[in-house]
Amino acid sequence: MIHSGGHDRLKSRRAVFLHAGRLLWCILFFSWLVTGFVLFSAAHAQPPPATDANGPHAAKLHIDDAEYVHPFFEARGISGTVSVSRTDSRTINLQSRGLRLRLLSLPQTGLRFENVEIQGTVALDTITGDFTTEDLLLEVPDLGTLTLAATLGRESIHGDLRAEEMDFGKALAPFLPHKIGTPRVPAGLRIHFQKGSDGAWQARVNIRFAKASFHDPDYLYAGENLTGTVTVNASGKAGRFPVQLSLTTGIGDGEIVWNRFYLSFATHPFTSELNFRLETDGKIVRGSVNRGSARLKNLLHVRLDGSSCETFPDECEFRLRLPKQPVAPILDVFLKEAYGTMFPWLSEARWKGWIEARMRLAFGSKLNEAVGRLHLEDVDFEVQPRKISIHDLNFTLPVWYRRKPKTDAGTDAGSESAHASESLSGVLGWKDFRFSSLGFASLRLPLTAQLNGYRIAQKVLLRINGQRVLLGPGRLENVWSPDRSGTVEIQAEDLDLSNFLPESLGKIVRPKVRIPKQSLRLDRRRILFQKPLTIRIFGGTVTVHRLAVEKIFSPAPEILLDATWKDIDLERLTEATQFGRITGRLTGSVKNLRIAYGAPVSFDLVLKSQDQAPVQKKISIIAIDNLSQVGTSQSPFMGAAGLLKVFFKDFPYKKIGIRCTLENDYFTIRGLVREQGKEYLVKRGALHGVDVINQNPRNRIAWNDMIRRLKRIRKSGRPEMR
Amino acid sequence: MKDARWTPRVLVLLLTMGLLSCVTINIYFPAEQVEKAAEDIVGEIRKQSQDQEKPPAKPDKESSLPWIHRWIFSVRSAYAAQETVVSNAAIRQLKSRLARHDSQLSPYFQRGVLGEGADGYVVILNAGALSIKERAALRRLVNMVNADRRALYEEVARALNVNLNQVGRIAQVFAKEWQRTARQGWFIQTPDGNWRKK
Repeated sequence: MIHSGGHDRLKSRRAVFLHAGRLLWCILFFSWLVTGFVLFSAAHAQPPPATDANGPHAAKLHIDDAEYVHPFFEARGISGTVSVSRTDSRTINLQSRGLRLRLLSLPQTGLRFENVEIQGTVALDTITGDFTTEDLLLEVPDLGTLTLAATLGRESIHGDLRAEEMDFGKALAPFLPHKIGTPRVPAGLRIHFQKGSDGAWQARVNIRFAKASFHDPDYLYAGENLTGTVTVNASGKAGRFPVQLSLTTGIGDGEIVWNRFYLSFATHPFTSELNFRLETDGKIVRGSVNRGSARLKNLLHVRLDGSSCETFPDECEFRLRLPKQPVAPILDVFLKEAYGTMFPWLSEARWKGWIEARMRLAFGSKLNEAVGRLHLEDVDFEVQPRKISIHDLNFTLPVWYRRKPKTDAGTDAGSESAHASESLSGVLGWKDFRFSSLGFASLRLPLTAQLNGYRIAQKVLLRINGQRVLLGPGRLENVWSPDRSGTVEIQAEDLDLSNFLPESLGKIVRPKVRIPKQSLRLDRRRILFQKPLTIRIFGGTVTVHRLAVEKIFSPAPEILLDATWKDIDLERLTEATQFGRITGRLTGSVKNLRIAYGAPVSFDLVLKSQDQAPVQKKISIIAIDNLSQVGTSQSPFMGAAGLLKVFFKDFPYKKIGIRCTLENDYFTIRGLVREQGKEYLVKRGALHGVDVINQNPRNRIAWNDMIRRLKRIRKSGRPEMR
Repeated sequence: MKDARWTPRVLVLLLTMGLLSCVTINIYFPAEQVEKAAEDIVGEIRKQSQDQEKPPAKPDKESSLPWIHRWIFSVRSAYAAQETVVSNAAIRQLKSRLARHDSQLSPYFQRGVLGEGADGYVVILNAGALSIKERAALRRLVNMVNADRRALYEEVARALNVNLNQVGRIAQVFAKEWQRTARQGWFIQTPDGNWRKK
């Protein structure tokens, strides 16, 4: 398996850029290489004998293990024979039928070719000093055969290098990420180059590739049937800088997969243009892009407004821009399709609106930084099955990412922070946002990007179903790393939680929570309420401690909490849940409640009647019946509860005490009132009443069994458990 | 005098070293329980997966069989009431998800595209036989299955009160069960890292 983290991707991106620059060097120097080599051959040829009346005499020049080192290329192990002859009084022909180069390399590009063979004829005009060749063949193993037609004057050069059936795979391999290996790139090549007597030169390189392919060993990073063209126009002065380059690329067919992302170039043809120049001070080569653009038709358009490089192609900075364009195709391909398996609800997502961005990206071994803003404009978003909808979303998201922040220069960080507060502000706003039964009124939330984080400077009013919630101030740190953390203040007075409950329950229960000044803390994948929450419900209070949401970025977040309660009016509670009437007050607690995938995983629940209750303590037959069925699966009335109800409506009780635990999918129910070796769930009153005794204290009830019991109670048509 | 001053210190040092060398750090790992859990959970996932792959039963034909034949030969679905060593809502949900996705992965196992790794996770072995679009879809599916398997091992660790840094060991125990219940022709990874066809 290949694991590709963000760091790897950055490295790969940088490597691709590094290699792209080297590729241009390669193409240009290859032309110079060929012309230089011809000059070398001519320079090593001995003067031929004079022509006599019988025609030209041929001489042979034997070369054995010679080498030629040029600033841009090296030829080593040159061996073979060059025939030298005259065709007329002013022309000398140098003919090779197999001049072999053990190694031909371009040190600046990392390219190396072994066992290159050269065949053909070069004619030397002894008067003008021009070298001319029409058909010099270069056989390069793993690359193909190149044909050179050129004229090399004392001060000018012009020529054409062409190849019809080459495989650029090996030549491109050093320019691709290592895991890709050697691609297969069948291509035709045309290079036209010329240099005038004033030293000015220009070259045009045209590569047509068809059905190119690449893949890593696991075929997870791969491209197939890639068909397109690459055109490079370059100009400059011989041996001098600057050099002007323009690069045009088009891919009109084929498809590519990059881990979870898939793209078809037949559906979204790719075109790009890049204009840049290379400069040097004699030691360091600097490059800068004047302008550029890349476009995936009907999907994405990116512009490059400029760049500057300290050393080309390392340590470069780019100014990128996403012109205003529809957001839907981008989210469809890069979000819905790529993450739909993990988050199936994405397949139902519908969106429209606009996206725009400006970003400064810095690449290099010492610094990796992205600073800029991304705008979502007039976006509508809907997931119908989940009842989620946002209308008129306008989001200016400032971004300030740095891979390796400076840790040893506090002053530096401070100055950057000040810079951020001035220029890296953003705002999140919408006109209408609905999430199930919750309705969020229009919002405007200003936020500021800080180094690898965000800050909400002030309190912002959020209205949820007409209720006021104050959000902020807050901060978020290390947002781009797994170690993200942060806090945000939240404040609300008597927030009605019935809107957060299922609709059926929300109609009969109206719990209210008071949040005087709560702080939410994010720690990696966990959100924790730092202070207890107090909820008023059924005339009593529930205090929730340690409320946390775990795995918040996963498809299945979990809820963990502890809670205690007191003074809960049992009559109102049992009426709401239709369990059967019980009067009195309830106290108790739940510890280690963990809810995952919408169901409880574990808890330790204690329910006790309060001794000092201001009301009578009574329990109905139906409640006793249901309690017994849930606890022991047997009714004490053996199905006669309906009949008994005619004579007895309620029984007085002295105490209710139940402890219920869930662990490993098994419930245990224990009575907390223990007298004379018996364990009571409900203890009768002093004079009369009904005891509910736990006959089997070691009884463990399987999850499936418990569900069946609850369903049975529901089917009985009397009480209903919700 | 000098020796006399140093002797107690050396003795204390030696004694401390001796004591430290006698300390045995026991890392709690209930191997038998984990093995039982792996057997139950993987067995159930594979059974559910195979049930999902089967075409829907034809009740007319089955009901035409004499009842005694049905009683003797038919396999009953009794897993709902089986007691496993560890289970909870999360494990049940993960089992259900893994069973559903296992049935989606099984054709790829059969074709040799996927293999059961020795570390308890699914490995893409040879995606070259697939179309490029299928590769992307398979990658997404395998990522999700492996994330679910990881979550399952963590749940088992929690249920058995095993430290989460032992999840790797739990995964290796589960790997044996995934491989044991793998079908004929599926690729499985041996502990030395090599692959063989079952």
